[in-house]
Amino acid sequence: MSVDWITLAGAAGGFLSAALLPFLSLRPNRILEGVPRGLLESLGPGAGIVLGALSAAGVLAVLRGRRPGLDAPGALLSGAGLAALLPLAGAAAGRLAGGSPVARVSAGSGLWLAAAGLGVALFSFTRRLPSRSPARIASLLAVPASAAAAGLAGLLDDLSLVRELAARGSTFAAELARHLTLAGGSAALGAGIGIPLGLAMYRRPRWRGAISVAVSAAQVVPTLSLLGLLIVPMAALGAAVPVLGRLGVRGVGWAPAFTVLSLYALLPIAGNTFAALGAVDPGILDAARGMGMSRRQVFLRVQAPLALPVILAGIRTAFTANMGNAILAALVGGGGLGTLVFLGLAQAAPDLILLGALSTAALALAADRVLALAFRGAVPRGIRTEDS
Amino acid sequence: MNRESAVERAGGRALRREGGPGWLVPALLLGILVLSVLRFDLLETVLGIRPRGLLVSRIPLWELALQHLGLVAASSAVAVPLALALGIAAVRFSGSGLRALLVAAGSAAETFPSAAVLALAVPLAGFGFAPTFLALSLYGMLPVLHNTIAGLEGVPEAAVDAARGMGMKPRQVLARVQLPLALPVILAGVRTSVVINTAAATLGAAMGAGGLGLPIISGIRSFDTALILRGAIPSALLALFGDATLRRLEDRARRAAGGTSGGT
Repeated sequence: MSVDWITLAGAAGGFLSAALLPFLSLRPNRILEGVPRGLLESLGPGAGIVLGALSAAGVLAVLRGRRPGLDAPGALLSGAGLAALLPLAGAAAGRLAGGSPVARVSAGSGLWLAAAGLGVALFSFTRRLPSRSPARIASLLAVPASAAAAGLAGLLDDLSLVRELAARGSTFAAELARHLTLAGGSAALGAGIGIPLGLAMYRRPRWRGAISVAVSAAQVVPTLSLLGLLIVPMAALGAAVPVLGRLGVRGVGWAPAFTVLSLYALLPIAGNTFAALGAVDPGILDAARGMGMSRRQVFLRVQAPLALPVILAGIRTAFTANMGNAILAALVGGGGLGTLVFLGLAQAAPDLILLGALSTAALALAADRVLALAFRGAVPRGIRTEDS
Repeated sequence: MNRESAVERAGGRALRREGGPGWLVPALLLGILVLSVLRFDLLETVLGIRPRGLLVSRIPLWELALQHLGLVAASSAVAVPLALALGIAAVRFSGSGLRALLVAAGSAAETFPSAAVLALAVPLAGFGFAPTFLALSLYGMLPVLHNTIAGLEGVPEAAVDAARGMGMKPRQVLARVQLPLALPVILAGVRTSVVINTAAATLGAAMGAGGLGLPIISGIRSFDTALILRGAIPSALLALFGDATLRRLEDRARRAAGGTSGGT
């Protein structure tokens, strides 16, 4: 056991950034240039909490070489420090804005890097604790709990991101719903086509190369280029088939975006289906046949269940990727959270860009976690793996 | 993650075994790419279309292609060595917690959409080349880091033991045994990184970085299909060319490594 250099570096870097770099940034309105505010100016006495948590994490990282028992206090201290950042910044935003309804207070590099330093410390300390230890659970829950409590108490209302959200509440909800429909629907269609394709690759070695090249090409070609290439065929399709045209299949809009996202989902799903079926131990299949199972039974009762975790992992990958890539739908008028991002870029309004991009990233991360949990339950206990 | 799956490679290998195209595909793609960039008007004549907009006509297509290529090359030149060094450090000092941190942070960051990274770079670095370059360099590191760690850890323990038994120092084991055996997997990461960055660089046009995305985005805004194709076709060819070329290099490294090194 020696000094925990990673935590020490994180804590020291966080401390220096918090102390020296702009902690918050104040803009008279949402488009004007920001004026940097240091840690002391921003937080006043609250600065002690941030610097105290960071230095305590650094000291514990040095001392823990001799006493591994210090991991629990280290985790709790860095968790508490990280949990305190958001309410402290929210309260400071209220003071800095000074009652101006149009002033925007956003996080500066000092705040981001202090959070990163505390995050590294929290990760390193909790990693060494047993998974069900109270200190680990408490320190990991502290951050979301304090963010939720501060949000409900209205403490965050003066932060620029929350002001931007408040100003666009109804648009945001509509674009969010559209984003989820686009990403989820296209991933579902991708699974509907990708699984049979993967099955075909497995059953028909002759088709394997062609299918593999086609689904990889769909992912290699830049999403934006694919969107551009689809405009003409989509417009033609909408014009040729009136039913589709009435549903909104045109060169622009949801249809090309939906198609591109579905194509994009094919590779992970078809690829994983093929790999999973091929990876089933031939001995097990032999044994099943030896028990007198028919071809169909061997597939449905043995091979498919054994392959399921990997197939589901492919669906999860596709779903998560689509949640993120659905940003691009906005470029062809397909809606979704990208609408906020590109509007923000056009208006040079950083808060709007941040709102769209951060919520998309949060959606992608959430989709990944939720599907990991959901699919875990769907896999037979005997063959559960860490990744499924 | 998914792009370098073993599966897909199996498909590719199967295809090559049945009369492998070798370097023919990359060479053909390069030829069509160069032709499309220099004489796109030929295709426009065939299709009977011509862009209406005056927006991009002033910047020749080859210049946009060079901007695009420059952006991808510059960001890969930063991302690949940095990620390689980090990955090697993570595996060598795995006890320090660096590996755990990099793997956890890396896989969370891979979930992060590239378009969101690009957009977030704008408030940080302003408009133009800088934010796109910054975002591409950071984002391009992830697959290389991921595959460097996976590749090095996938080297058979027996090979490392044998090298140590021959009296090699840790540095020599790394340079002469571990890296050559891990190379196919590392190169698969480089390929993923280049493909992702070629795609993300088209989006750079929305951040003012120019490149082949510019005609696509201007074309979409002005409902000018011909203009869109001017960007979409060369950028698609560029990505396919990069992918095919790096795949051949990967195959070569795999043959040199004795075809044993699997990994993800």
